[in-house]
Amino acid sequence: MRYIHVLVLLLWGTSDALVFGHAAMGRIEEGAVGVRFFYEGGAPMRSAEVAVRAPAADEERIIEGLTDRNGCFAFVPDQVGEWRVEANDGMGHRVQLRIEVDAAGVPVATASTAHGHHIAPWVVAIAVLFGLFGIWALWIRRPPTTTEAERR
Amino acid sequence: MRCLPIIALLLGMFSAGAHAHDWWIHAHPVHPAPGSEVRLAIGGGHSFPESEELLAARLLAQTVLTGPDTEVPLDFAADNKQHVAAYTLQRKGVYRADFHVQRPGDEAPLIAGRALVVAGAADDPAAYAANDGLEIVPLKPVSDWRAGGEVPLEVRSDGEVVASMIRLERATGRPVRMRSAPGRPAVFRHWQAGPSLFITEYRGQTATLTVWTEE
Repeated sequence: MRYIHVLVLLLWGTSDALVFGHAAMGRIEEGAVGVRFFYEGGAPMRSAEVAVRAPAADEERIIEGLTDRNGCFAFVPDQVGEWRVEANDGMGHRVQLRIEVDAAGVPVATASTAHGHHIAPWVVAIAVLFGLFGIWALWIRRPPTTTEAERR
Repeated sequence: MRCLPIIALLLGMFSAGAHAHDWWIHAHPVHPAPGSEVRLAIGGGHSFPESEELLAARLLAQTVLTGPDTEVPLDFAADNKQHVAAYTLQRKGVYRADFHVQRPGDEAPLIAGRALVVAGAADDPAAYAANDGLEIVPLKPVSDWRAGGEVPLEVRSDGEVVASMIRLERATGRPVRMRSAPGRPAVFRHWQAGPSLFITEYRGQTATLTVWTEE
């Protein structure tokens, strides 16, 4: 009887292993690079198409996906070198981040290039300055009021 | 010193000209006879009516043609920098060709674009609006629009007239902006023949309307 119990347990265990042989698992992975894409003014670039190119992959996209509702996307680099991450919102705005990953898998530097209609911050700053000077210039050149003219 | 206000004005104009990409739908011809085919094209960019950007297909939603007792989904295909479709109008009357730009997971569209087609000279301004979502609604029959005349429009949100700025883009010249409010529609004067794109923004949504006035 004891042997039958052992046999049943053995068979049970084997079938269990067959059933769960392809079980999915998950864990927190260290070394992920998280990026965030956004528009001027800070609005997130939601649901933008993201393409990741590895240092040795030339133009081949090795990872593709979409940004989340906050404009975020993450991947785990497995090579040292410059990774290129491009986001395209599908409405004419594209931005590319170049991320340098060191031997420890840590991003050490980034650079970005953008395509799409935008105003550079320095243009806005100059426009504001000139606007203030323009108002001031008009103010000092205004015709004197009756009271001011009488005072003179 | 005298040139400072002028420079300030020029810089202000430069800044005002910078805005997000416009998205529109063209219909041609806009006054066909019943039984003839109408070609539709969805395009976008900064150089209306020339399309500079192809809208990502994943963002294209609610492509529908609504006419007299008709509501048909339109099947658009990418062609260079625009999405194109064609449909044969069977009956005379007003047809609305609509599309939405909507991100996956969003409840409301970012942009609602529309073109108006009047088949068989049976114009009816009452058919210009769906009274759903954000719409720019002409208050005068589009088939009566003539060069040199006036064009009144209002903005509706779910059927209610709301206050909003309407920007008019044409093939040539600078954009024209007119404010529309309940009881006080935006009136564009000195009308010109050719394609016109009206754009309005209200509570984070954009609506566009394309109208083609013939010579």
